[in-house]
Amino acid sequence: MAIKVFELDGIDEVRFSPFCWRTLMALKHKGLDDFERVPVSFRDRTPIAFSNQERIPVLVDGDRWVNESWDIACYLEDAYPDRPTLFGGDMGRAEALFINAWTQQIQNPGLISIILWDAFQAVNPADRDWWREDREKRYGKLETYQDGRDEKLGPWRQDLEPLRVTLGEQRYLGGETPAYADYIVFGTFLFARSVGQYDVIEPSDPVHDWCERLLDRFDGFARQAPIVAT
Amino acid sequence: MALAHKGLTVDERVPVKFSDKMPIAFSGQDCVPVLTDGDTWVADSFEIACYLEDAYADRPSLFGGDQGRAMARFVNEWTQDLLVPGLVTMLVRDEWDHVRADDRDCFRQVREKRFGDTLENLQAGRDHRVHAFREQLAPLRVTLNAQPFLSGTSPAYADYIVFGLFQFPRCVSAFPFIEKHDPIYAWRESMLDLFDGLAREAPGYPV
Repeated sequence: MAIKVFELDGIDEVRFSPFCWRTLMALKHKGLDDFERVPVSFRDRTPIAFSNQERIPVLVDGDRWVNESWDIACYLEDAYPDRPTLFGGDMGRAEALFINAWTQQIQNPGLISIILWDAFQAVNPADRDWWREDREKRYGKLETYQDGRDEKLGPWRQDLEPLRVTLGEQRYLGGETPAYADYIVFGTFLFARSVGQYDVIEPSDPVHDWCERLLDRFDGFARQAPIVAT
Repeated sequence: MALAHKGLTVDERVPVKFSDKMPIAFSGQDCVPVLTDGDTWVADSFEIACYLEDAYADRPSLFGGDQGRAMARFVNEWTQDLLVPGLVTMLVRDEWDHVRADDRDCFRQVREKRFGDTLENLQAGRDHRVHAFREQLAPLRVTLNAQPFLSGTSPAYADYIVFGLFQFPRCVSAFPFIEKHDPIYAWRESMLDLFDGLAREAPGYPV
């Protein structure tokens, strides 16, 4: 039975969730190409009611379901050990968790403060009331994110320095070829790209070159994804 | 720590003065540490770790494979970019107290030129700045809440990168840069106990 991924859906089939992107890239990495993508709206999670929880992505593989992008990656690594590895062993898995934490604590929150309003525009109109209420609980009034982009961009790009220097030394976070650590960080840039804000990274930045390489990966899988026109 | 991890005996630890890098003149550069092994010499701590991993492949692994090595470099750059400047500016005047008397002028001159202020001014206000520093450690803290070591269930080179830096404040200052209730503090305690207390036995402050 084919694997199913339940992922959050935005306007015009734009799917911007960075967590869903991590899972999609992980599946492509494992060569499990034959998966079904099931869109779920922000306000209505009935398609994943079977899991008795509301977090997305959810991956279903036969009788099993897994949520949380990190747990999904670990599941895929353990369930398909004969496929290309996502972590390169236990130590690599442990270090990838640090990169996961860096993205969660530094890269992602900084980006959200820059593109939250753009993300709101990429939400389906029918979901916007739900989305506004949910996000405003965490981030305050959405309208306050319309301004100040340029002032926030500098410090955020500065925060990416460890990534930038590492990518100056090697092609991918995983070394010569990409690994799950790359998809963790790349997912956040795909979030920006999906909502029409790919220019948060400057073309002269080595991080941009790395993103381009990952966009080309798997026959341009990520590059072909619908994005908000700007 | 990398040498101890590999179970290699260090024949000689050679002290080098800040003001006189003659002992490493053979390497044609002036950055320490330098490791010599027979006819080979290697500078730069990360390069040294890579050398040990490759030259002593049958000993316990520092990286657990190529992907682990690649990701350890990210940990290295994160440490270099964020933690080194943060710690240095909080401790540089205390550090000066622990520099050899005949190295102090050199040390002061080089550091004051690099950071553009006096050692005293650089260190001033650290009681406030330390909060921001501790906040920057969030990725490490979150990781150590999920697993005992950065490298997983047992320590390896990624742990030594961050821990090695934390030996610097311990050696030069009683300033409490990590709070006792922080999971990072507990991790550091277990690192101090490794290899029969190798790092704990180094002269330092109980911070």
